[in-house]
Amino acid sequence: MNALELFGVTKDFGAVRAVHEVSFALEPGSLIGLLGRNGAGKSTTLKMISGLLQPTAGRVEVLGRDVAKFPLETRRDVGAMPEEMALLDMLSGPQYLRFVARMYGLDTKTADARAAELMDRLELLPPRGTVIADYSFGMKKKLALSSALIHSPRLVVLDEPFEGIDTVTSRTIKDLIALLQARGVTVVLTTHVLEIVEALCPRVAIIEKGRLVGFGPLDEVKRTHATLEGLFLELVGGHRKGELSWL
Amino acid sequence: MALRALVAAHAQSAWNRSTRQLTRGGRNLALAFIAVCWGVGTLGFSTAMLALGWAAGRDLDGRGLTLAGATLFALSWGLGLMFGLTGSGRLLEVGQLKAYPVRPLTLLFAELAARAAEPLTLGCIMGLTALHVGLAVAQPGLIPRLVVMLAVHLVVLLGAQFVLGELLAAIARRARIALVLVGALAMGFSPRVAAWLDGPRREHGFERLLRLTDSVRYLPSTRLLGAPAGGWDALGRLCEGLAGPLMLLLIGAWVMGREHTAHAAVATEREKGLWTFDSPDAGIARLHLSTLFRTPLGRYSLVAPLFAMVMVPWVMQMLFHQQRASLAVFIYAALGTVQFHFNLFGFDGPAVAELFRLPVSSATLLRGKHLAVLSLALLEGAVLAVFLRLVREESSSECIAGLCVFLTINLMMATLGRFVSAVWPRTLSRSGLRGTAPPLPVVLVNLFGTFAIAGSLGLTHWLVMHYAPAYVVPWGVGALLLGAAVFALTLKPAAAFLEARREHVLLSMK
Repeated sequence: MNALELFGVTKDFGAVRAVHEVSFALEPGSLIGLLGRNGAGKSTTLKMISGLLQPTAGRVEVLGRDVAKFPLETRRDVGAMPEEMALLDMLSGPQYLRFVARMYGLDTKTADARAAELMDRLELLPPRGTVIADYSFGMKKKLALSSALIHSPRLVVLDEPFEGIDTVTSRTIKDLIALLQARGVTVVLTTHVLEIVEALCPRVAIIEKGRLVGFGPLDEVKRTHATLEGLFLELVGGHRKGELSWL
Repeated sequence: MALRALVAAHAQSAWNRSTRQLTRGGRNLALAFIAVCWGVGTLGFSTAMLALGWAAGRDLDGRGLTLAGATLFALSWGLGLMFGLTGSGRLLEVGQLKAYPVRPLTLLFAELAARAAEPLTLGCIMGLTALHVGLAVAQPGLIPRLVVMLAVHLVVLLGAQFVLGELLAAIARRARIALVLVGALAMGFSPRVAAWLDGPRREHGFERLLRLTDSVRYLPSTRLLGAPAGGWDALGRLCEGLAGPLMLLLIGAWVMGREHTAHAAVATEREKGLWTFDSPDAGIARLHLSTLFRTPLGRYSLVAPLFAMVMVPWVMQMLFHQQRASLAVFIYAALGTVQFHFNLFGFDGPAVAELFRLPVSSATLLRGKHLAVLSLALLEGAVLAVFLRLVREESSSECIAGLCVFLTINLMMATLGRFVSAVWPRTLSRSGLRGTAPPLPVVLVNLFGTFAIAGSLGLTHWLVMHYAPAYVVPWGVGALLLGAAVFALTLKPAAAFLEARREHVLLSMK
């Protein structure tokens, strides 16, 4: 049974087709980097995987279950860190983590223990009692990651986890992702930093204008191109423009 | 240049927002509806003001001055104050403009220009202009002075809205405890004052009117209009007339400057002893209650019953010489909580995605949200019942029946509101009163729902009190049970409705 499988998934927003017949499958324990330009359809794909958006056509299966037919069961197995990070920002960090953990059915003691462990591991040390609205961007990022992991999900979906964070936190998140993979958790992440994908992900998928234009193991990709950047630019068609005459 | 850019950006945002909320067709329909209503209303109002100005202008040495002065004052200061108090706060997103080198005065004028384009304010501006034109037609010699007066009154109309609206929001945020105390004190004195108004020593209506007429001549509008031509007295009165708008502009610029450079204060929260709940419903309810109490609207809802208790009996006393008004108080107070039912996800805003990714069903989400809002309503209603009984000495049966009506209205509105929340969701600001005004369809649903529910309860209450007053409590309990039954029976279809519209709610909350 695959951990994640997309069958011809399409998503329309009115007249705009954001995702166009995307299909791929991942075995349990896979780690894949989902690449694409801004607005290519990465976040929409991740939202469909985590059940926040419904595909216009096609279907998404998580651990063999159709996300549309079994939304609650799927959400229990998925941990998602969205790019927007619109957290429940009038709670403090520990309150938020406890709330999320309790909603996933963890008892208070376990919730508090896991929250403390995650906060310690991610060096998430806000001044006591400060609400999330007053956290820095990096702290919010760490908190969002903690909330995605606190219920021990079997599939983790991370949208731009390395954006706007310092080098130390970046290292910690990389370690956590490696740990997740070692424990058999399937991880799908998006990022614009291709070097991170090259260092972390054994497999990549490239989306351009909603279509999956590249998918496969990184080693195979590297066989045809010296770098991932070279392949990426070739597939998405990025060209250098001329200079700005007035600058 | 900056002013034009700010106003254009505001207009474009408002236009795009309405398209997004109502769709293109809905926006056009709403626009057509508003344009027709506004056109007819404004035409009638402006014609009336033109005639009034002309009639008053022909008798400026007599009663015309009083009439014109009072009308000018009412249309500028009076309506400015009223719109400021009832409006939805700031129109311009000043917080988002911090990065730009814009002067506070430019921001202020952009805000005033945006306000001038609001349909009601625009109608008032047309009326004010027509009034001045009427005066000018009757007294062509006063045209230069009337031009100055028109500018003064327009600035007052717009400035009072902005400054007083800001003031109200600040008071709601910072002085809620003082407000409760003032409300409680006023409540304690209100029966005596009302009795004095209606008592044996009261003046005849004609005497009161004369006294009122006499005081109109001290208003700045009257003094400016009736100023002699030339001389120190005329200059003094001109300065007097300009003082108000200048003060409003200065305060407005100060507020804008302060906001433009403001840094948010760090908020803190007690971490221990909170967030223990046994079921997902209770967790959602706790979260929702916590959010409600952090918003000016939520905090205001705690004070609202006191206002209702003070205000409604006064109005009843003035209109019907009847102070026993517990039902009216309860109905008024219940309608104040309706907006919470009609936008259940509004305070979550974009964070609704956090709720939707949790493994909880739509029924659980609705139950949790209802639990929070109805708990708040129950608390308000109970406070109201106790105070009405102890302070205003309303009968126990009326208080119990009133509480039942209060809860019934809340249950019925919650029943309606769960569908409205899924169809027209919108993000509400948690730090101010801006953006609290609902879209037109919600206003209409609210209006007709209120009319049907409160009207039928009021009518049956009147029938019971007229024919079988001893049964008022069973009637109230019966109404409550009926409301609860409708509420419970529609939960499942409402949850299915929300489930089908989760994506719509999510995408609407930007």
